[in-house]
Amino acid sequence: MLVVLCTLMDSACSRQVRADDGLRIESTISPKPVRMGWSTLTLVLAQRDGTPLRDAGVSVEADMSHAGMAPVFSDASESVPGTYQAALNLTMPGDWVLLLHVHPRYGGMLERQIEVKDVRAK
Amino acid sequence: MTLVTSSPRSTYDESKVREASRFDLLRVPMVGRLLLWKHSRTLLQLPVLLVSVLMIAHGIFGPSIAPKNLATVLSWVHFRGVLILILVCAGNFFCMACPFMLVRNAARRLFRARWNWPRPLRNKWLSVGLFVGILFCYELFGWWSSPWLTAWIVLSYFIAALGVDGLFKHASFCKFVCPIGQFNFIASTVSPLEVQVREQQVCGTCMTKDCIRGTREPDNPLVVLQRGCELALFLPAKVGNMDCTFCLDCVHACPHDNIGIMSRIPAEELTVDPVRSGVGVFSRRKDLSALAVIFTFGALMNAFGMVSPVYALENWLGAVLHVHREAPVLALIFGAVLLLEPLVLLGAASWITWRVTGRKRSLLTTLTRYSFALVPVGFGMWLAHYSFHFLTGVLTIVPVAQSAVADLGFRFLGSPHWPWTGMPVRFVQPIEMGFLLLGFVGSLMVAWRLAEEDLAGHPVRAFLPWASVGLLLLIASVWLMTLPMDMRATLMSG
Repeated sequence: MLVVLCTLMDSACSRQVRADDGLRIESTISPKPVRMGWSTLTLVLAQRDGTPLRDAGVSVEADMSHAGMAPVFSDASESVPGTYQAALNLTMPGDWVLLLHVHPRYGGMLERQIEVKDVRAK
Repeated sequence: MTLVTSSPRSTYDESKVREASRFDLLRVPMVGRLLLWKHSRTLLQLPVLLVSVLMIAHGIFGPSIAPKNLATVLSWVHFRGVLILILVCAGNFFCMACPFMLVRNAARRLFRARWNWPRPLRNKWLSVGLFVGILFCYELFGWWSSPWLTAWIVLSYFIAALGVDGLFKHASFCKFVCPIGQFNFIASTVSPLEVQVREQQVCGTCMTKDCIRGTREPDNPLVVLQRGCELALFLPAKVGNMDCTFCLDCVHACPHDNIGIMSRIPAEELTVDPVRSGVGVFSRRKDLSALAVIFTFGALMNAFGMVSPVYALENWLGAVLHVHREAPVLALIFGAVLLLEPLVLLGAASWITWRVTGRKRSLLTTLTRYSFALVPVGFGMWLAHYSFHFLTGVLTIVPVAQSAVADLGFRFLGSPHWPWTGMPVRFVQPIEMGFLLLGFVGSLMVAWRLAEEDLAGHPVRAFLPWASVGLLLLIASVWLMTLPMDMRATLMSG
């Protein structure tokens, strides 16, 4: 049973992971140090050749490192071509993991994971 | 057991006389019948085994983020919460549904254990060490944040149970190794249910002692038809829940239908000190006392690892000692909380009690005897901590299960409802405070009973030192539970 499940899950998860999807992301979060409450995540998205990735749909999901906590969702808006900003209300101090879901104009969905460590209490 | 104690043995006997008026879970329609069914344990173990397999598979191959993985959500939110709530409401039913034993029993059909557990290890020292090791690794490696590690811990548990019980006879793993088992044993001393004989007189006339020997084939006594207690608890002389896995082997073996799951006053077993079958005398068991102390102070340490001051303390210690690795600094904090603090607090309380009781026991025996009085306050802290995670995150299993099923390509559970969590913190906090207070009152009750027995004329003099220790633990617990959680996989910054 374990073997069957592992095989199923392994193949299922392999479909999601895209090791080289040609997306380049630079991310910054402010203020620094990051504190509980509202923070701004800035993402600079570019294609493999360095061209800014314009008009993409970008959503952010922030999860605590411990199970049992509610995730925080936010949609990023494009401020300048290829640069997206999302406001995140980090509800607890500690380590957070941000999951980026990028929907380029040309279709598909790209995912990235960013760790935000040591979010401090107010 | 009764509140007015004359001698431990008579106390024990009197309690048996009161049997008729007590609640017996095995007499409850439907539930009792189900539990009396020979395969009831397997019925409980199978779903837990299935969930364990799912956790292992999802932990290793599923999402790496803890809140999205079945392994971490089920282990650190649901399993711990359900375990502690069942312990406070009923008894050691997790050991009854233990999936490790199901696998072990299946393996024992193929391989027969040959050896007896080594005599020098027939105590709790090894399991106490493992318990501390688990608490330490939990903080150091951030187990709660890693589905992969969590899955391997569960898998390791299966391997360890198979390995130990594959080599050694009886329930060696449960009695001498399993840290979860030890946690359950000591915690279940405050549970309201206990596996007990119904009528002591019936046992007095019993010639076969099947509850411990097992039911034998009449023509061939070497053939065991139904196992007796594998943990060496002889039911007529069994006192309390220590070492009882609620496996109900004794119930199935008893030819007189004379064993039930009876109600009792929680923690009352800690107020008496008789010779307990398979356990001995609590006040002479230094290893059990160490388990009680680690259980109590470990509750504080486990919660302390999840609030901001621990990070500040680690960074300060690291700077002062010029140590940049986390393990030695964390080891120092563990040493202070689990060794130094109990040594100072319990040492001082024991010394005062020892003096005021006229040195009627040795100092170490006094310490051992009264250390069990702290179990309820420690239990209160575990209960507050684990129920917090459970109640505030109880619904998170829904989106995680939806997501896991969706990852397998099935959509029948719909899209994950990620905002589903559980009760708001503001509602859970008063419940936590109630649990802490309940534990504290339990400790006061136990300490008072012990003091009354030691110093009949002026029990308050022997009681006060232990009430003070309990109060300090309560204050520390309340302080910890009012701090906002701050969970970092890496404690030391920089």
